[in-house]
Amino acid sequence: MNNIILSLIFTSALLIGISINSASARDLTIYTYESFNSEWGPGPVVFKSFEEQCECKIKVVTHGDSGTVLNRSILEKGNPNADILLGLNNSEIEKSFNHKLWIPYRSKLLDQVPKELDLDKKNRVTPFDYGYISFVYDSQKIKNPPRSLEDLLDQKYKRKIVIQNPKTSSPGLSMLHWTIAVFGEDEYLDYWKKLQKNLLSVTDGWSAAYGMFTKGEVPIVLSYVTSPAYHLEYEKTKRYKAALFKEGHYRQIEFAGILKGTEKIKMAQDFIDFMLSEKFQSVIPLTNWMYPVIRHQPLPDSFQIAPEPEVVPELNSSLVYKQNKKWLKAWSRAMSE
Amino acid sequence: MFFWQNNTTPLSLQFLQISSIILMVIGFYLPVLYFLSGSNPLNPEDNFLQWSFFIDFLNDSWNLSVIIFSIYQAILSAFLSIIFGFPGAWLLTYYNFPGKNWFQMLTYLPFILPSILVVLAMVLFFGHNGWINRGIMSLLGTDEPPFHLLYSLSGILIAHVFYNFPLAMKIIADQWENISLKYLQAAHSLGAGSTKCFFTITLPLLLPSIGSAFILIFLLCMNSFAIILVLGGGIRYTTIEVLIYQLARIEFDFSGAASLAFLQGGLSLFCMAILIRRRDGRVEQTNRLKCSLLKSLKDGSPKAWLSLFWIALVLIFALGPLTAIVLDSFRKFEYGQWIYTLEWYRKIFNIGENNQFLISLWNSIRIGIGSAILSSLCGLGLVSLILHSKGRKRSFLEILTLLPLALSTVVFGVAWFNFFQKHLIGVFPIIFVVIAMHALLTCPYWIRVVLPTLENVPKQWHIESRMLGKKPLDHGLQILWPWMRKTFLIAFFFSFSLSLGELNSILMIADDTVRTLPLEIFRAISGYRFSYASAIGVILLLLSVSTFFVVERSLGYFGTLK
Repeated sequence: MNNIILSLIFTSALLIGISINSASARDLTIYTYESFNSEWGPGPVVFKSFEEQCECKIKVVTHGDSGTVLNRSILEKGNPNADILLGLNNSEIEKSFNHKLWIPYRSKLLDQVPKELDLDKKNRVTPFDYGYISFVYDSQKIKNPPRSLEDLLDQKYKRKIVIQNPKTSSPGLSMLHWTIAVFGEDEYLDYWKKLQKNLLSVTDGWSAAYGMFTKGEVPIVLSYVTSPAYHLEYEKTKRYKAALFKEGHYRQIEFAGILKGTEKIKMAQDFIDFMLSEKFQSVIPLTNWMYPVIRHQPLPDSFQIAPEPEVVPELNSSLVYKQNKKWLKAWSRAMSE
Repeated sequence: MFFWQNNTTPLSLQFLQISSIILMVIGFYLPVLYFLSGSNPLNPEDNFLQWSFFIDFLNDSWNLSVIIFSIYQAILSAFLSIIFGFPGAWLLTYYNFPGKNWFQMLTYLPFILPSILVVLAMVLFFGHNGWINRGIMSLLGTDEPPFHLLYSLSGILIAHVFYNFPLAMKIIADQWENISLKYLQAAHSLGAGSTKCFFTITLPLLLPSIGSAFILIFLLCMNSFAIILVLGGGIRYTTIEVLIYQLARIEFDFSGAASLAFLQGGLSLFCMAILIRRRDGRVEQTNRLKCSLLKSLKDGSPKAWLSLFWIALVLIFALGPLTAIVLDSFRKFEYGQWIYTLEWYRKIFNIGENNQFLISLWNSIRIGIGSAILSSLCGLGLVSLILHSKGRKRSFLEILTLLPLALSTVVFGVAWFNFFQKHLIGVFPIIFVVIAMHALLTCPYWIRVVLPTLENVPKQWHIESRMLGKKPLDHGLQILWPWMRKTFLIAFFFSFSLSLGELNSILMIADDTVRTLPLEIFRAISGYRFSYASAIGVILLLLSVSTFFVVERSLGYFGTLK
């Protein structure tokens, strides 16, 4: 009897210990957020083609969202377990500068990147894609879509909008910055107070909000201008559309950089070059649902439904870094009045 | 009450007790204390816990209202879960019915799914456009949803009760089964009516288990996060956990997050200290005879019909949202409408190309089994220690084992990561670290589920065993095991299921070599594949149900061995 139990425990311990992916020789380690390296994300394609090009191995370590990845890199500051951090957005880069995480590198290909996307004049981080947040609506339920942030305050949208919490989600935070860029620091809270009655829920992250939207619970959701392109490409439908606003749309730019403390500077620099090359940039639209920073080739057909906004209200990223805490505090107090 | 006399504690049990204490300390207390007492990793000059932070924080009336709301919703949720679970406990105590074990198991299923899927399931079922509202709208022929159940305090409470009432049901039923009928018969013979008996005898005797269930549910609801934000409507209702998340993840203010976690832990500790009392050990043992529910139904007993009604209600309430997820996994959106398809399941079981799902499935199973075994061993050691001790020492041990539940998972994750990175990386394969972490997180549940049953082992059994000269291990296997095996089954199954659904620790420490099913769900959803995520959720549920089946059968087998 005892022997049976003991042997059961030992066999299961042995079974559990068997590892499927044994650690292989690795050359370059990259930190990125979870969805970048999912089977639908750009990761599997672009990392493989870099491995073929450099004849090296890439080890990818993913951690939740971009905030978690930055979090981890800051905790490991100066002695990182990775060579590259990929996937930081414009509201986070200032923090990373403050913690002096980077070895600057300027890729020659950066000349082809539009000036307004290259936010770091010291070249500590390099942009690789960008997108705009917007309200996506179900055109079967909303016949006359809103055309401005002001329109969203209309009585007819009462409890018909779901957004994300700026305190816990990156598009949510961008929405807060969007309203500050449009209405100014003095008036954005008035806008939010009026918007409140139309919000069905303010979710913790994009997933819950977009899930509620696609499952028919709400007809309007805060997402990206490029979200409808997914539905067109994979679901063959134009039913979901992004509402283009006359105030313009807030831009999110994603960056990558070389972490200070790496011993593989040359290979890391090669990767940054590769990141701006056609092999990487052309994969971005249909996997990361963002715009590539360099158009080596025309955008896919499904992106016709995702035209780039003409007006782009912006906030200076060092202002964001300085004021963010204050804004969030004021926001949460105003919203619970 | 005692498990085995101190001076005869067998060596193997002592070894188990010591190793479980070591695991608890190294796995939980050391990393957390190391983190809290150390310097702030971002500003090495600063101490981690800053007194000024507490003063500033508590001086702000808005923050105070957040603290009050956190406690308020947790108390209300625990209270309602107990109210809803109480009839269930009564039913399990007095009636036998076909599929009773399965009924109990089904109510635990929500624990297996990652919270994002539970939230979406609640929306699909209780939401404005959910099944309940659509059903009634089509009956009444209106366009306006009649029930606004979610996106307010009631949304939070519905979800918390949905999650937690099975715990209340299980813990209370365990105690109820062991209340001696003699007391009730004596009271009856003195002329007391059923109602009076219930309030003067049964209820007081049940109080320890009600307290135990209350603490557990209270702690779980204090740490609740996604449910509070999504189903509470998100703006008006903020809890301490949300503030901690914001500080740690968005503002990178680890010192503030740790201080808040400390505050939250302190509050929980305070509530636990009030609720944990020395239990009344004088409960006598009887083998309660149970009525067959089917027979009572035929006899037309109103109690039996009420029970049947309650079972139906629970099945609708607990299984409705899960069924919504199952249906969702069979559909996809194409050309602007929903069509039913097996596409997601074909993708799951497509063995050909590099199938991430199967790798994750394998990882989830071995992590689940490994951590459930570890959690059971660790729980057994700690439970026997708790039963050995009396008075303050006992309360201290109980709180010690409950604290991992009370600390914010965000802070635990950061503390663990910090500790792991400095001391453990490269020493152990990550999968063992994940197993240990899951075992630590599930062990408090294991203890709470097993403790009441073990406490009610009749005292004379230990004495008789010793008089018969049985060795401790034989006593354990021949006497305690048959008595305990149902509870062990539930506890093991519960640990396994919790481990299957655990996402936070994986997100925090694992790399691409250890991928699990919740991680696949997370990835699918971030890639717009919501229905595929539901399909993986269904596999998680099936995995859990089949484990229940296997464990139940094999326990039956071992139980008959002598």
